Amino acid sequence: MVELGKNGEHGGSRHAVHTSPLLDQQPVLSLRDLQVTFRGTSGPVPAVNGVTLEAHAGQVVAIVGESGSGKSATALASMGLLPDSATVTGSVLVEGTDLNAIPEKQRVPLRGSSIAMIFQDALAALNPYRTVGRQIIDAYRLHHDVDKRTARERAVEVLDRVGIRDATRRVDDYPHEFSGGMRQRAMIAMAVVNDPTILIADEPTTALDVTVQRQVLDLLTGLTDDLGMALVLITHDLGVVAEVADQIAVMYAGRIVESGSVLDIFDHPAHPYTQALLGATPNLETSGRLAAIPGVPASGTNLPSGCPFHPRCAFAAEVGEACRTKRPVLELRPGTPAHRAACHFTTDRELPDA
Amino acid sequence: MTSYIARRLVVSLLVLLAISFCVFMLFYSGPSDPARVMCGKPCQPERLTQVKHFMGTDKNAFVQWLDFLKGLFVGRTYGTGAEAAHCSAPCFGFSFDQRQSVTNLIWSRLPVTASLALGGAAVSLLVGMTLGPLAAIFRGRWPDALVRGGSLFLVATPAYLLGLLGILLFGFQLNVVPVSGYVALTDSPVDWAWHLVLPWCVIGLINAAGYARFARNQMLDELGSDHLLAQRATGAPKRTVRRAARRGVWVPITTLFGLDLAMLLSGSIFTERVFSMHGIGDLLIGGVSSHDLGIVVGTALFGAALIIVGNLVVDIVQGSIDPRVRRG
Repeated sequence: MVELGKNGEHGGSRHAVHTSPLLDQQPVLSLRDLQVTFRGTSGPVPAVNGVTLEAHAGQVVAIVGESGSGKSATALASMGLLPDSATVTGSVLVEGTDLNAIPEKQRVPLRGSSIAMIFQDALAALNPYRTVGRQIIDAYRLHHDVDKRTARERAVEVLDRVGIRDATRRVDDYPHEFSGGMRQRAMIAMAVVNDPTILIADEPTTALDVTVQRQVLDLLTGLTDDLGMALVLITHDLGVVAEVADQIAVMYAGRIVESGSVLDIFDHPAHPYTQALLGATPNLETSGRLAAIPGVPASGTNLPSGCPFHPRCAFAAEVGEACRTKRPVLELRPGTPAHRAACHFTTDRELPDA
Repeated sequence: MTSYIARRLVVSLLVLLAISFCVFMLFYSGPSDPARVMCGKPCQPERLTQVKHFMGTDKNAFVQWLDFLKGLFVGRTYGTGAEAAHCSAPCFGFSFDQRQSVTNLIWSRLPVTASLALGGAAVSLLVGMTLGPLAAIFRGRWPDALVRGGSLFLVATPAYLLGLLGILLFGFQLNVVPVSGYVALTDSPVDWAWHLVLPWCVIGLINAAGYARFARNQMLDELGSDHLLAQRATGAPKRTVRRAARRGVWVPITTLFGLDLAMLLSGSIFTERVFSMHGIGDLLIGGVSSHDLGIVVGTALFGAALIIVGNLVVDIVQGSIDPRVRRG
């Protein structure tokens, strides 16, 4: 078991610490050509369409995209928690074991101990009929053969680590007696109590107000460093991504359209959708109206031909035929170690500044 | 928790007071005149006045209500002299027809109704809480279809029809259970249960249909909830998660159960009739057909009191299952 450090201060320059020394190690999580299809009333609905992604220990990988882009389906497929109405193909390698290839019975013991997850709405994700402590204790005892007292001590320790003040007393409170930020912390405690190697966080800060958002992000990055986890952060908030992510994958219509380091994505976006997303994010340097992306997001049921983004793309006219007929593949940008984009326009050139 | 119960108790008493007032006004201001029935035929006007005075119906309905409330606490005596009838506290009214206090009548019929109600409620809860969640787990497949179809059929079946069919099949054709009558538990526990098996199943199955449907939907909600997903994400096996889901189903089911049980305890008219059991439902029907207002009002109030007590118990039980209720 990795010892949990005390509540420390984090933030500052995360980007410098990681990336390069980790790249030669094996990734702890590796998604290969992940496809998710839901059985719909009028035929199959594709939600995820060939996602390939890697996350290394100690790294924060952000998956960014609009609602319906397949972020959450990717997360749940990685956990093996999609309902029976979903078909998952491709592989989900967790420390070398393909979760998608083994039966549910063998997947169960890996959940929580190897790969854990936290959710957007902590109030809904905590059981209202059980005390916070009881839920953490139950989660711990699923993977550790210890008596209740030891598990309880562990629960208090973890609650303390995630920043619940007076954890010894609050451990017996019910979720509804916690504030929103504390509930989020309690849910994180429940997810990390077994020291998982990978933590998937599905929109962990969306439901919180800005000051609490900041604290929860600090907590998550702190835990990533202390426990040496890989954190897969699913969000639509580029502000969050810029602060904490090491690697970014931008999703559109169930596909990754661009991936790379934070600097790649923010300084040299190579996909018009990424550029448009950045243009639609408020910041202090630009003034005036925010640029909205015209049109509506593509979805599994009405997927445009060729490049799924072409009906909304400002450069499609310049490229012509290819955008409507040929699906662009995710290609490594020349002269970069890991910056990839799937765009016909930028295969041989840069995007003009927005 | 104590202040919560105290608060609920006070509210319950107020509601009971209001109900007794409404019931009294409804029946005693109505056209039915119990004194005329008592007076017999031919009925001289002087005699009628005497009877009215004796029964206390010569006063207006509001004063009668106050008399009734007083009777509840200190008892009351109707008439004077040799004819006088005493009704000791708590006096739920007096049946002049049977020359007995309604309290005694209800008390004597209660074992029959209680046996029916408790057994029937137990069957309904057992069957409903087994089949409902099961259907949810097998959603869309044949067990689900069977439970949904069967429960829809049972919900639509009247108790007397199911009872008569049961008597026909198990009583006469197969000859496995007695067709009617009641044997007191104290006389012979085996005969008691044997006479009650069929009525229990009739009441139980008809009520179970509602529970099964409700429990199925509740279980589906629970199974789709984020907290169970989160629990699975911690590595809990499906069986553990389902157990947690069932607990979530119990909360709303207790509400339904408490009220149903109270309703059953206040008398099940059809089932008692079909199986010739003289319970409170039978008492009420008898009271209605003999214009015995004392019985009608008494059993109605008894039923209302049960429902309110049932509600109170439900609230307290829910407070202990669901910590969020205690604050409300």
